[in-house]
Amino acid sequence: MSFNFCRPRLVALATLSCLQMFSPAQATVLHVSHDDPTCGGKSPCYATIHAAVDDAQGGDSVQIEPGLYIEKITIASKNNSPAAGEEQRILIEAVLPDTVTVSEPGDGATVEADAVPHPVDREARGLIMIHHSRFVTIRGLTITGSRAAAVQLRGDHGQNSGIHLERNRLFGNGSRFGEGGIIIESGNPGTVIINNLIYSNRGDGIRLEGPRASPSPTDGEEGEQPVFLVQNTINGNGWNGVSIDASRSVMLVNNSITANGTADTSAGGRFGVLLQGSGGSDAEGLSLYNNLICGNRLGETSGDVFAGQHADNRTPLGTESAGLIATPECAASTGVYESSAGVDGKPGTGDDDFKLLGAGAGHLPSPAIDRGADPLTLGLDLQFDKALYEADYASPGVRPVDKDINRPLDYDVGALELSCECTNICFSQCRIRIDPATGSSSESCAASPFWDPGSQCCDSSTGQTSERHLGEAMTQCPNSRVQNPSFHLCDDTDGCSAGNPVNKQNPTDPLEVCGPHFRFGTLNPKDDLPCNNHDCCYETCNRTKDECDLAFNSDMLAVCNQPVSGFCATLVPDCLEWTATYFDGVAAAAGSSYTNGQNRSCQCCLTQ
Amino acid sequence: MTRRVRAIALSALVSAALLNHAIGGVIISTQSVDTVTRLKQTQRTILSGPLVRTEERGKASIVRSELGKIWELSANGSSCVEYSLADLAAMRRSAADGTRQMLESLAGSAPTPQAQAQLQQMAARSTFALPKASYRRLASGETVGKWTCDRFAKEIGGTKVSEVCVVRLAALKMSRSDLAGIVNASAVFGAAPSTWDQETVSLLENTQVIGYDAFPVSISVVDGSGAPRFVTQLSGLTRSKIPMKAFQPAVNCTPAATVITK
Repeated sequence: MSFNFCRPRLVALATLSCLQMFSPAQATVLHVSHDDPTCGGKSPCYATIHAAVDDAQGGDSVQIEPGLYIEKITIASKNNSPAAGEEQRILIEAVLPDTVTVSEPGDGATVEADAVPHPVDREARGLIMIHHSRFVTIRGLTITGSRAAAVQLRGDHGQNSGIHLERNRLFGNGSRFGEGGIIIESGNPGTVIINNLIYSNRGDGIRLEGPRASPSPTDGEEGEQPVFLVQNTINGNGWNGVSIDASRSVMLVNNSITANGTADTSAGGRFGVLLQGSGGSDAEGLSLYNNLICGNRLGETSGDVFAGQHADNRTPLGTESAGLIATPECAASTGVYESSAGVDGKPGTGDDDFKLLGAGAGHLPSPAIDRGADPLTLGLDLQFDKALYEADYASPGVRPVDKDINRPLDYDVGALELSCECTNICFSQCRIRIDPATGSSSESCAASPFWDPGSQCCDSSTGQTSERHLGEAMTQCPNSRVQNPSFHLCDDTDGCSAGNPVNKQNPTDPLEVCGPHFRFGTLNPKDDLPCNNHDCCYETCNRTKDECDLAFNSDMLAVCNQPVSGFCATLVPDCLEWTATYFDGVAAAAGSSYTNGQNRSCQCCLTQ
Repeated sequence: MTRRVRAIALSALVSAALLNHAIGGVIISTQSVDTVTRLKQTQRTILSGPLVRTEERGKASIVRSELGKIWELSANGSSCVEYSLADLAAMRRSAADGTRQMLESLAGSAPTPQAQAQLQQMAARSTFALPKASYRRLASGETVGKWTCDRFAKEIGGTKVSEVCVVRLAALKMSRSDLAGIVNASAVFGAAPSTWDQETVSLLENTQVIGYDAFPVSISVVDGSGAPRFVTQLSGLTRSKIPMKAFQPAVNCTPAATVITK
């Protein structure tokens, strides 16, 4: 399926009018601070978001300083000209992510919310309400405490187009009438809901409503363009994760829709994805790719959700439709997220953390890891800037991180891409491996494309390859030697090569009498004893001689101080004497052994 | 024999009159784990006045400071070896000789004439220095088993060798006189008859640093990486009647000199 936003008629108009009306040079940054009337010396400065929004013109940016903003925000008639285009997009965003919270005026008590009659005119169902607007982005806000929805995009005659909601945290909103996270009324073509955390709202996580009555004059023109729901984490909402009127054209990609339907009873649905109304050919406007729909109370889907195009979607059983992939480990949230309730252990609060469950002993990694689709392969890059989907909730430009060698696709499902801990650019490929025998998973760092197995020389910070020299690292490159990856570390330890400080030939040798209590070394390289550890340290590239000698001293002291009783215990002070003497001797005399060890284990990587 | 040993001997003669009787004493039980091999073992030190018995893996050692002897009994009691102060001195000389040989061997491969001379000087010494132990407080009010203890780092020659958690001796309803046996043994033999007891003696020698007469409830010996290697905890401390025969060896205990020169 492909979607085409190109509208030659509007493009032609824009060519004429944009230069006059929306010159980039006229773009203004409007600053908002709830507690600093000077906005840190920046101008223009506003005390409320809605005041700044009211003044914003095409191409402007509203930058919001950290803080709690108790207000309702109406975004009305922005860029409401046929000539407006992407160049005039108005950006409303938090200066720092996760620092700006917008909440409902009043005490926000649930009792009061229940007492409010359900609004009939649909005009006051969102703490942030957008109507008659085009090309507006809301990014990085936390919206909570609304007695209706967090965000409402009005439809019909008041509908919008090109609205983006990016990287927001919407929780704890809603009413008993089913409003929750986001309401998208009819129309609203080109809406993109991407990389948002939408959780623990009272009603639906996202609701796409149908036309209220007869189609509006603009429905015929713009109604065919889809709404995009991409890479959102939609978890634990009271009603449905996503509720969609069957008349809508919607594309769901890489969403994690889990554990929704937490409210009592079943009126309005308690599913992962609910298709409202009649299906039939209308339902073909719904397409789903690479979504994880799991653990929703009354079922993962309801209605003919998969009547349209779909591929690589997962549910615990995989039986809801042909082509679904059974993924039983996602049935519980604990199989998907590491600790979704966050540090405070309470779900539905501001610290809820939907970081994916990584590799570890005794469990499979999250089925969301590397199970998303690259939006490029779905043609989404034709629709909007790839920076949109290369971001995740927390950071821009982080996707994809390829982690699972067994999974061909790179993007993680949901709003948070699991980061990779590999810092050596030569071995930067995080790899999750699953042991089929135990079902456990582990993570390692595999060679990156920078790694050249021929030269085996790769700068760990730049990835630059270079010529390799062996056996002379201490003279050729004493300050830039690197471990020879072909060297088998600790394979040729030889115990205490200078002789144990205890005389093995003497029948009164305490070593003979007291056995292993005072043994510092053997020839067996696997023995974890001071002399072998010391040999091993000397041939570990870039360990210093002092480091190795001090560790040797500590290892010998540990041997002397191990639990022992009886006659042999009375020799412990002697053992401590031997240790002190042996340490002094090795520190003074073993310089050549250290150099030989470093030359064996290190290599030079010399740039010509 | 020193005046101190003679005094201890007199005390023991009095004790000998009560050979067939049980006498009051203290039993210190510990449990250790080797964090690498995961091997666990239990040890006991039984104290009654100047008399000491240690037990480990079924084997027992009877330490008679007043006689300058240690009797080592095998697990099934079938054999007994008697170590005298002279045997101990011989083994120490042997160990010192081995240390000299090692230093001479190192001198032969010394990288510079200066290092070679330094090693030869070290080898020529008649005795080698025993580094001093010191304690440094790390934390207070920690919980180990059923005890609340203060944690100290123990350093030898500036190198951390262990962490020790200690409680006040009085809190265990013990006094220094209860520990006289291991203090005496340490004076006579140069060390107490178990590493746990050596820590106990060392702590009593450092009362001013610790701030009170202290007794260990856990000892964690660290290795070259700084990680705990041997962890020992106090598992029991009881007062009990001890039969006097616990401090008597089997008859015909073989002198060590005849065993180790075979």
